[in-house]
Amino acid sequence: MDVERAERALQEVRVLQERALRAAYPRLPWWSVTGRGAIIAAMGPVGDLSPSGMAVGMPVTGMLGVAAFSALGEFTERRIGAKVRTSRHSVRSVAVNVGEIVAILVVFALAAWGTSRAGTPIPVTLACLVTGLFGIAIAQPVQKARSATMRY
Amino acid sequence: MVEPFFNEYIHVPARLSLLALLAPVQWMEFRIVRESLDTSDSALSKQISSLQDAGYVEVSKDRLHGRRSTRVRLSEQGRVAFGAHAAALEQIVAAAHQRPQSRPTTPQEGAFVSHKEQRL
Repeated sequence: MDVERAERALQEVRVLQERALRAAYPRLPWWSVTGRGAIIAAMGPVGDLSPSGMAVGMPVTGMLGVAAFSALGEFTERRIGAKVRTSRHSVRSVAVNVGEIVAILVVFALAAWGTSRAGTPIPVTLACLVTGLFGIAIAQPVQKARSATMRY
Repeated sequence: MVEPFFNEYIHVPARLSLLALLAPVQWMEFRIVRESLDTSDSALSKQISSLQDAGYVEVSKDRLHGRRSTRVRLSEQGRVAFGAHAAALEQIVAAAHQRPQSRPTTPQEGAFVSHKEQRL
């Protein structure tokens, strides 16, 4: 086996593996990004129900939210047309995913605190709206960060 | 740790490209594979069928929302064979870098085994 040929083949393998990972993490479709923000925003009004209404509404909304996120994720995956193996996730890419969730929760907590202090009649609805918009705003940069932190 | 094993069947450029592309993913749709390799439907189908016959890739077809979906993935056997082949290539390059004055690695030097031999 010619060494140069072996080197070329290895280089080609690396290029194609990077291409596969880039294909699996492209720019997200607009409907996937806005859909995610819409799901977060849609969960808000339940939080502003009276305590008796919340007791029923919160678990139902929570389950519907999880189902909606799962369905959206599945549709997005099918549209993208590739799924990365778990072994290709690095510590940094997992940190990106966790960081995104933490950032969204922090924004929600701050927005809920702010809207409550402002005395608005629908604080949770507004907080979820703000959080949904934040989720939309960070979706593409986070996707880019995910792609950049994969194990090549 | 994968045992290095040069596989002539895999080393054909079109096959090696396909396996390299599929290695980091759980599955990839046929259309994405075709776009990534910049090849035609017929050429890609031929390579996939060949690799499927050898047991290196698996193909699943279904219909989703009125659209046909064809997913291609590496089989466990394909993943092991590709890993062993990549390791053999790395071994050849590493050996050459360790002995810069010596001749390139020859088929007799261990890792280089033809597909025919491998099947025996």
